Amino acid sequence: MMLLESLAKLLRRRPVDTSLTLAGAAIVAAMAFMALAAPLIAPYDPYVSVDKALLPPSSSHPMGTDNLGRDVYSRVIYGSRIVLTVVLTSTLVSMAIGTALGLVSGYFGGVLDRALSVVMDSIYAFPGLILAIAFAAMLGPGVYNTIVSISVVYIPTYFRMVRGQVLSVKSSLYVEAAKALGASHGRIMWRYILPNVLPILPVIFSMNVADAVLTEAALSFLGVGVPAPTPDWGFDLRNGQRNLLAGYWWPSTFPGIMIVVLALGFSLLGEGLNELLNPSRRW
Amino acid sequence: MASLRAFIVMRLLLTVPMVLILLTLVFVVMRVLPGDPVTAIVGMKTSPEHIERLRRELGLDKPLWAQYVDYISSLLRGDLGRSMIWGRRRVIDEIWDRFPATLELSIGGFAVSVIIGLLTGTTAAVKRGTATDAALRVASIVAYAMFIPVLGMMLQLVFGVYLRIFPVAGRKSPWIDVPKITGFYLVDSLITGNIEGVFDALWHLALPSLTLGIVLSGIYTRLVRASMLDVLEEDFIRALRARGIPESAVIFKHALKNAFVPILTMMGLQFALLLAGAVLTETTFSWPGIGTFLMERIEYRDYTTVQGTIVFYALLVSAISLIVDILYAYVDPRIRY
Amino acid sequence: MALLEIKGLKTYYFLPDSVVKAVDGVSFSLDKGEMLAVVGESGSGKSTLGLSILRLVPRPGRIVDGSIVFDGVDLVKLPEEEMCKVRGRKIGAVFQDPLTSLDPLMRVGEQLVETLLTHFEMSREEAEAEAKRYLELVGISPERFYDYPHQFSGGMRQRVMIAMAVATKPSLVIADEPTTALDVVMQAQIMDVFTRLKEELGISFILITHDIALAVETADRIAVMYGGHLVELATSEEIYKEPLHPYTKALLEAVPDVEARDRKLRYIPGNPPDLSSPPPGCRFHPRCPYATEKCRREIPPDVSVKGRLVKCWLYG
Repeated sequence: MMLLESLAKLLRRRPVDTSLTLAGAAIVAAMAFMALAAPLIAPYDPYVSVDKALLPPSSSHPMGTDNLGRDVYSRVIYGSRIVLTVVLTSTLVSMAIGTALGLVSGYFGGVLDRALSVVMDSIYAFPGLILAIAFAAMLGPGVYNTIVSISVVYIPTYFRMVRGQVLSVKSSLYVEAAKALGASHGRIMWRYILPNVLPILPVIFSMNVADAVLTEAALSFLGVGVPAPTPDWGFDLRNGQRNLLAGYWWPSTFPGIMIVVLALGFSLLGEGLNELLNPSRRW
Repeated sequence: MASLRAFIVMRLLLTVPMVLILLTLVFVVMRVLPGDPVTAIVGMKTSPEHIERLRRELGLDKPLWAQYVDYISSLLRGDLGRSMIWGRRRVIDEIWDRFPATLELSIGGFAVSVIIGLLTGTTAAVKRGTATDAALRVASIVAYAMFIPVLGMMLQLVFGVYLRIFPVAGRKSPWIDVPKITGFYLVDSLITGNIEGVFDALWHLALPSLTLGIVLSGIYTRLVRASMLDVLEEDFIRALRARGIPESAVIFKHALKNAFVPILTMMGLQFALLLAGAVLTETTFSWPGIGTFLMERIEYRDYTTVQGTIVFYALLVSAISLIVDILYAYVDPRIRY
Repeated sequence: MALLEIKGLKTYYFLPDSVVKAVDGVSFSLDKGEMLAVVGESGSGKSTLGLSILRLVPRPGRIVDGSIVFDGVDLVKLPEEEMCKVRGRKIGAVFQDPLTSLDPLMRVGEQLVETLLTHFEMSREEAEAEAKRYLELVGISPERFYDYPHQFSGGMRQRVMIAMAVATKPSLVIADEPTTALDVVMQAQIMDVFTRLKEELGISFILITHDIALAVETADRIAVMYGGHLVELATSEEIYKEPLHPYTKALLEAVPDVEARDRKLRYIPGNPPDLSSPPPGCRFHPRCPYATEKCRREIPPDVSVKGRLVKCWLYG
């Protein structure tokens, strides 16, 4: 199969970058599987107390129970659903809005472009997490509100990247030609400019999702994200913190590890893809 | 130097719209978004008169544009508002009380991240293509993907609980007495000759700085590596080697110095990340800074304080951005044009 | 005994998909106080030759075979710490682009002092005095000791490089295209400095250049390189009056003649060989007007003609 052949060739030529990308992809796939198959693989209902509180890991509870007697393993599995839903949705929303704005702003230029750029640059300079906290604080806790809060943070990222691409493509000959032939603005943007913008998106998207995972975990950890009793890794991390120093390490450690692993998976995927598609250095 | 002055003026002018936009954004978030702040504060159980009084007090009965004008004009006077709970202190006073703590932590974290970044980045650049390089690059990706509370809790467990070397929370031990001159325990202890206080402050600063520093170093490692690789490809490096200059001098005396300028550029931009990371670090270690303050007041629905604090962040970021830009213009004349 | 004796040197670059044979079996010797010019087009391997002697071949290249015996010691087999003591002390180097060959953040005099202190046991004051002496030797006023590289012109910077190369009193200086980035006037000045150093201090030079006219003018002997092979070796007078190898002839003919007015510019047709997959047989045969079937099949041997060396089937 051609795909396997090119993969093998890549592995030989750029072993480090290819293995990193594959590792990242594997992690993401595993997480996606976990989220999709949650009802099938989780042994207990994550919302319900099923045993005594704070039981250490055992055969019936591989990750022990939390302070309310819920099975940590099931909460971790179901948590992947919430986290992935929130994170993927918000990043897609950011991408859609940011790309659209960047496309329009870069293409039409002028006052609109200048105004939007200043606004976006200002937001971009502001600490993302604190912006998300501000939104989350005003909107209140909840899954949908968390999605909104996170989306806002990443819109400027896409805006800037897309606008940059648009500006460099805008003055190419074939765009000029299309204009001369009387193509409408919409058509030009859709058929000529957008296809040149799309290639850069996967890498940005991947790295963005990694960041969004950490932001979502932060919001829930700080108490302004996904609320109880919904299973969420960030929330569970905080919940287990008070008993951590007494020696009950399992209620926070496992959700904590999942957060890092998921963020790592998307990071490796994004970084690896970036190196493979835009190799920065040869010898 | 005339051009430097011109640059500063230009840059200041540019700051005004930026600050205005951020302040407007905060206003939009705080006032325009759905969610009635008043009922959020007092709940449904109070009398309608009480609710009305609160509304008037907060200025929420006026039309939106009037609220906006009030908002901006009070900010111009340096008034960040007043807290709605307890002693009704001025927000600016409360922030000022806690600012040294956050600053201390930020400096500590920044220092750790730069040191780690310089060491690992340089090593990775020098050993480019080897297993060490790959390992360090992966380590930097892992570090950046690390969730601060997770790392913090791990360090707390290992160093605080099992090994008992460092304290797991707080800024100083209760038995140490440090007079409040600057607000920085470290500085105040030094000034008053309180050696025990100095060590106590550092002891408490250790784990939080390490946590923040390790996570932030992820970016620096990559940056230093890239910058060093660029410099190491320059002709003068080869010329230095041809003169028999020992490799250690080539790397640390010549290459690193030259690599520093682009790194410096990035450091300024990372300030926002530092602030965000500080919030998480403070929460994890119960560090009494602005981050914990913000989250605490959000929980108490102290709406005015929350707004004032966010505004403070906006102003802080703008100020630092301005200072950094001016510093670069001073150091590198090319940027002025 | 010759100062430098190279036998069968092979330096290859190992790329992921191919091996570039930059220097593929080169041998020659150099005496004390002699200036040898290594002439060739870009891609002929001449720069790699220079770097090989200094053991500064960048990754992914390395010396694969052969010996470089300098002052009785085979440099190829020398451990790196020992090589560091040779580099900059017994063998000096001057590279092509003076604008980027100096550390931009360090004063010029300081860089000279650094070199001296690395190789010699002397006090700072002694080193500074010595540095100023050498600056004067190459025609730079000693007050400029305290200036930064960007305050010098290209020609002056190159002279600083030369001062640095000879301040350690080396027996050999390798100069890789030292005047290519400079104008004709500066070029003449620099070559003048070389000649003076050769005659006054007895330093041997290996001058690597693509400019055969320059080589004929200033060097004692000329080695012509093509496609990684050394194709001709003779004194500059012999080369000028009676070039033997077709490539040498073509190089000389390609030199523009100021006096001939209507003559078209002569050039050598074709392209330099791809050193990762060189043509079989004589490397020059695709561009050689005298190529025969034998040239296409077998690599010519090194033939001795009237005490000179040629690598061509025309003479073997």
